[in-house]
Amino acid sequence: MLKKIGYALLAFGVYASEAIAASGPIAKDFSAESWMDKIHVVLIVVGLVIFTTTVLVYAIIRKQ
Amino acid sequence: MTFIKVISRFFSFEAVSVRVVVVTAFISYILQINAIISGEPLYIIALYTILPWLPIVFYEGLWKVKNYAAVAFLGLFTVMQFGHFAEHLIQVLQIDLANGTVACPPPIDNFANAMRGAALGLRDATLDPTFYSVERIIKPGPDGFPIIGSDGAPLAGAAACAVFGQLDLEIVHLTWELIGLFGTALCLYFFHKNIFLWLAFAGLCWHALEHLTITYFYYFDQETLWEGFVQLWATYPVVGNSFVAHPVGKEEAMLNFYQAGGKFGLMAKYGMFHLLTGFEGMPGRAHLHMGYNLAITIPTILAFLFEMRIIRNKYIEMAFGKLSSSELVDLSLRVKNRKFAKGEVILSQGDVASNCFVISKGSAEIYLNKGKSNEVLAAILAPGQIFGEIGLLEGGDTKRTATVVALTPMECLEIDANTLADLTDSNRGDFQSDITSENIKNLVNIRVAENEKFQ
Repeated sequence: MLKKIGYALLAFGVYASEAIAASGPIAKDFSAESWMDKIHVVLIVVGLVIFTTTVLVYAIIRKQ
Repeated sequence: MTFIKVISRFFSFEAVSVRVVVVTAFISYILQINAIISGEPLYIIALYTILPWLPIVFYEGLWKVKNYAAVAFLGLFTVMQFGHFAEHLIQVLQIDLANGTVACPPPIDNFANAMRGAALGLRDATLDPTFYSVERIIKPGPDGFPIIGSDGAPLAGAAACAVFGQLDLEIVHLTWELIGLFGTALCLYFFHKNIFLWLAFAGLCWHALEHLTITYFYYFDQETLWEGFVQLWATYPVVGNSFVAHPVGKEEAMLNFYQAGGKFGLMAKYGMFHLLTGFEGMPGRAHLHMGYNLAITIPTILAFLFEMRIIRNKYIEMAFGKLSSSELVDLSLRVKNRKFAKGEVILSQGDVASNCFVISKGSAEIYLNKGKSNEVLAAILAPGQIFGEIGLLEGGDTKRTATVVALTPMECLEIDANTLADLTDSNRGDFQSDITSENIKNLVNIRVAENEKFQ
């Protein structure tokens, strides 16, 4: 039974091992400029969250 | 005191019988002991312990949402938020108190790691990879090899990925964050005046910025532009199926944005804010996200406790709509849950009355002269309706005036004679409400008049 659990975790584990980059140090050349090059992504995410929050707050308030 | 009773009732099993709870506890205990004796790692022991409880907790949760409405949803949501926060807290404790290394999800005893372990003589070469996650990690230095402590031994500590580190994936973080965000919005839909929920909602909106950004880079920005390295591990067992990861050097690699530094997100150390401003005082990602979750979980708990002051059974409220809020809370604490099978006779005409019932599930048939030639089906009752009260209100050892049969499988809330007397007598007990007393007496008069029509 335990072996089965172990193998059941195999697929889980193989995928999970892909994400080990989630730890460890920062790359040598990674800098503020790297982030500035991607600032459009951050701004789109900020816009998306503001939009979603506004819609949810409007729905909550309108119900009252 | 009432508040403590309310809390303890909410967190006790009401829909599941004591026998089922005891059997589940026994199975959980046996699985747990078996896992411990078999030398399983902590996450497997925890998994075995929790698994048997999941079906009955799920069933109980659905029952509570059905009976206590939105407050129950908020309560279950609070428990889940607390569980999530606990995982973050455990990770931080592993880092700060157990010399932990953040390599998450923890390295796995897979083919590559096992082969390296065998090549270094750390494990038996005939031992196949087990695919268990490691529980301990020997700390790697800048060169990717073990840091040696003052005692000459490699520095080892916990794999600082909490209990279920296998779930420490960006998609899991994002999914949980979005469940929290939309779940809290749904709670606000019902409890829009609860300031604590608004605080939790604000925290979740901010937290969403982090996880949406990090997850975007993880999945959608794969261009490898930065020189870096990948840490290599060798894995080997120490006790039973508990494995250790041993650092065995670094492998040069080109990294994508996430791997190079995007993984730290917006506000953590080495994250966007740190690099753009040069401010070095930001906490590491694990500590920052524990803080985020603390800022979300505390208001959520306070919001739940605030709403718990007025939690009452939905069907009691339907049956006794004229009671005040606090009286409904008190009455909800004094009822017992009863189940009846389809066709079961709940009350028999002519028996001495000792209790009455409010239907919470299913429907019941009210018969006069059941089984006799002049049998009459007087009414069919639905959830939120009361029966059995006539016999109690007429005082003394009054007999039941009708027979009640379960038309479907039924769940009822049983009210004893003493409690009903408190409700109907405006000069005694906890309720002392003229309006309620009149209301129940009117209800009884209507029932008696209906019954007389069939006599």
